[in-house]
Amino acid sequence: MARSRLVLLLLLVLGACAPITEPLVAPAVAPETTLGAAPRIDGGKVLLLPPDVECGEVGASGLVTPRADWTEQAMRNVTTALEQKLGARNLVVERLDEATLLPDERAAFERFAPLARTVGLSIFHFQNLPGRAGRFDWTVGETGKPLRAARKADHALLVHLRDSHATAEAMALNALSIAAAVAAGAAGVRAPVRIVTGAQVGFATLVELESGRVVWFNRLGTVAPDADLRVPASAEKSVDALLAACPI
Amino acid sequence: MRARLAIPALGLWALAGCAAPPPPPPGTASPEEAGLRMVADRAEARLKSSGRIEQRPELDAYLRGVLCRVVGPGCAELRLYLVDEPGFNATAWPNGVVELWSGTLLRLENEAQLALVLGHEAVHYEQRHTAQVWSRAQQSLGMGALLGVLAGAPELGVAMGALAVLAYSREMEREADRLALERLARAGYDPNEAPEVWEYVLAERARDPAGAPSPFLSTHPTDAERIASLRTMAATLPRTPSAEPLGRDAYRAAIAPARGRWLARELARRAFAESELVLDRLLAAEPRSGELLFFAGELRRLRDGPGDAEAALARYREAARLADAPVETWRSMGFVAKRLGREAEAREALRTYLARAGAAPDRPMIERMLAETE
Repeated sequence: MARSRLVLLLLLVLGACAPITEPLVAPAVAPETTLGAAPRIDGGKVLLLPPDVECGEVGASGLVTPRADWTEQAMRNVTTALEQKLGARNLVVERLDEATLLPDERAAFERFAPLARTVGLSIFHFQNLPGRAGRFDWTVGETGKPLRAARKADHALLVHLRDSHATAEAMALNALSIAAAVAAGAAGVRAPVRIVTGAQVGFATLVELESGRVVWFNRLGTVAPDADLRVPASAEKSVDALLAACPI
Repeated sequence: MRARLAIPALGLWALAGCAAPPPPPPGTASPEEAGLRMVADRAEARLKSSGRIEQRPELDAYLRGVLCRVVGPGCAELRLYLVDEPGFNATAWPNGVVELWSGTLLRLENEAQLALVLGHEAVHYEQRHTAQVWSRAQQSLGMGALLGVLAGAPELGVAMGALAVLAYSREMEREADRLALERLARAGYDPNEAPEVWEYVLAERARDPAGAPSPFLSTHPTDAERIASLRTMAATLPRTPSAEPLGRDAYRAAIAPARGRWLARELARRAFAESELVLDRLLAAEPRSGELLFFAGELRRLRDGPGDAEAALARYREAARLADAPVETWRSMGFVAKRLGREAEAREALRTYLARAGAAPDRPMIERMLAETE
């Protein structure tokens, strides 16, 4: 039992697990979830909200310390990857830059964006609760309308990503913990293993601005060590996985 | 097994292992501190658009004035937000935000006490306590994890590390107390007001039936020892002479326009034992306040325990004789009198309410209630 758990943990550390993605789609009429591909949305205009990205360092303590410099890199990489990915599709993509908003646009943005984020986090955490019985009927109410009016856009896409990386100390301690458990195992004693890894978790949520409905949602979660938003190619991979079945 | 027994000893080593690092020189920011600032900046942007900030320019100006009086020129770096939340809480963020909950202002008696709370938070910011506690947490938990791994019980090691962090954070609290007290005295406030604030915090905690302390209490460990050392310190501090060492009138005048709304929010928490302490204290200072008597009645009406209806009615009657009683006094008086079967008094009170309330949105409901009792 202890051995098999150890192997599993080792696999986790070595990055053998693939990213978990699970796209969710709001149905046009019936309040049921369709998993997988949603009907393609062709044409129209999508607003790309500033990606909510944070990058940090996880030490031997297990605490994640946010890093401003890494976050800036990650933010740039994710934005570029999103623009590239969406640019290849048949629609107008408009990046919404917080710094250049006009006063009425700012009011619309400040009403919509925090709610879209909160609803996204709620989907992330609570969609799979048994009480929801698979229903996917999330909405941001009327808050998308002013933004639609201000920017003449049909949809808004919000990407939220948290990316952390283990320090050398944390990795060394992981190795030590495994070695200690193996040694204890050889002596016939079961010892717990403590593994601290970086992780990449997040979601993408697509909101229809007119109706306020979340029409598509996907989450991402991986502890693969090569998942690193600070590296452009890796950020591109994450964005690809996140938007794989996105209808826009 | 032998390894496990070694854990407490190793834990003690972790606790005693490191001396407090000196605060970093100003103008430098470690990557860690820059990261904490970034997160705080983002949280500040969310707070600003959250609709939770009180929109009271005059009160803001007053609070800022007190902050600057106690902090000095350093207050230029601080951004003070009065957040619309009941309960006692004040927080310093690592980016210079000082978050003050409106419920705090119901629990302070004068400007000197307010200056202490604001000064205490300003010290947390200036001394970079968040970053210090954070890096200490990294060290202690990491060291705990290492020792735990070696001893065969990693999570226990981490827990021992967490204890060390708590001890360290209490140290930061003591430092904030001490420096805030000095500034209080230097700014011409009476430093003897400082222990009063913590005394009150302790008294309110003792009343909490659930034993769940407010967020402020969980990060500001308050005990008799801390209060005693503040008293000793306050007695020996050199003080700047001042015409207004307490600033009670100015404080009351500043919060007066908002106090009724905050009291309504306070009662909505339904933590009646704590709210009763808040109201008792306010009433002890202003026994002839119609507003306070009305809310003392509301507390009893909402709590609805044995004898509460009669007690509420008595307070409404007393409030009704005072000029500053809110118009809702007569509405509540009518409701409670009706419940107690005093139909005539209920009718009289509801009629008075209608006469005074003008175009209140609940007018049709009250009119119907009156028609039913007549």
